[in-house]
Amino acid sequence: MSRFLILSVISLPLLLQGQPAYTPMKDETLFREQYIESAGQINTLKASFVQQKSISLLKAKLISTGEYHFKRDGMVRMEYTKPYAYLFILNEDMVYIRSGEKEMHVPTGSSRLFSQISRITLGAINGNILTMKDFSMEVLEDDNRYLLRLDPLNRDMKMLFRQFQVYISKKDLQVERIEMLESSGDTTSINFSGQQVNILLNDALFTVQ
Amino acid sequence: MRFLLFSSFLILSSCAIQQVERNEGHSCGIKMIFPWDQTMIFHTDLSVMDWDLSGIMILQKEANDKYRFLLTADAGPTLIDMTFSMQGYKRNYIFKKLDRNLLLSLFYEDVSVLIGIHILENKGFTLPDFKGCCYPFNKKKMVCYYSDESLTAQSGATLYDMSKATVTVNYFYDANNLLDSISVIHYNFNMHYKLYPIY
Repeated sequence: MSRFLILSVISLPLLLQGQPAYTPMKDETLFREQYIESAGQINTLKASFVQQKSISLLKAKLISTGEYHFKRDGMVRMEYTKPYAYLFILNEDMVYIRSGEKEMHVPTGSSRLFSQISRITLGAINGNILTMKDFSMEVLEDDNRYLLRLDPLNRDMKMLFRQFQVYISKKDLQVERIEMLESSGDTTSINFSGQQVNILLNDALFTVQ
Repeated sequence: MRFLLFSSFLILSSCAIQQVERNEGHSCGIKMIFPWDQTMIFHTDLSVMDWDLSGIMILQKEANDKYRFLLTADAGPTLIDMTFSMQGYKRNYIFKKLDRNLLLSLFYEDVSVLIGIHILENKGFTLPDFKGCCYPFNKKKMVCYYSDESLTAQSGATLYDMSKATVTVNYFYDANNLLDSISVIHYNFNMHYKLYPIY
């Protein structure tokens, strides 16, 4: 237990009680314009993340943490630090993965699963998510957040995921959370915090050698 | 003589690691190291053919000597969800691209060896020059367990099909005798992986 954080199960009634009600936006035009403009001003981003996997087999959630780095245009570094070390770097068309004793340098096509997930986080940050052709999208809102619901159209993606949900703060238009609802019924959510925008990020962070 | 390979170094010993006696009635008294009544969560690096995956593997004991086996990708979805028993395996959910009988059978064998699923109802036996303990595994196969603190991999198991080794599972421990990792190597199929406990 010491190396793996486990959350207690939250009962469904409590979960539903606290669930904010999101409603479809009547006019998305203003949101889209503001979001694209705001995203266009982000050249670099650094954030911490907490990933929670809810697996039907387990009563507790599996939690892992790490750091996320983005640099325009197509550079992403996602580094898990607890409870295990795992590094994923996406640099345009190449992917570098380090896990345990293994290192891999592969084109994005060879690591399609993680690359697709990274493409969604990347798209949520740089604004491209609004124009992704392989998802149908619905925009909702509550008082504090926008919620983008993305249903995959691609057959391979549909086999794995039922829906992606991207939560964006109305305060600063930053991505707060990404949820992946799996076809199996399990879910994975990634919560971002401590975002630092347009700070100096060395290219070496994204080196795929 | 079939297991002469092992004869020079295999000395049955009782390690200070977690051990569970699976079948008190057998003659050779080998002890299983897998805490088979608990949920085990591993991070895994897996290579199958030309496919590499890093993810999480979960093994959980269920009722009636059944075990649940689940493999998920890092930051991603559940890929394999099966229930194992002595009689075989049942698919609960398999990502379509991985739904290959051979692959699922190999996972079934690996996990069966790992948790000693076939030891529940079978009596163990010894072999000449082998100071471990072997058990029948399905109709044609047998699995042999051994442990020796003097070895780098202090304990392990090998599955034999007609006297040919097909899979070896090795357990590695840290200086405090806690399980550090498990390696699984197939000899007849390009598949190998390591499991790192994260429980």
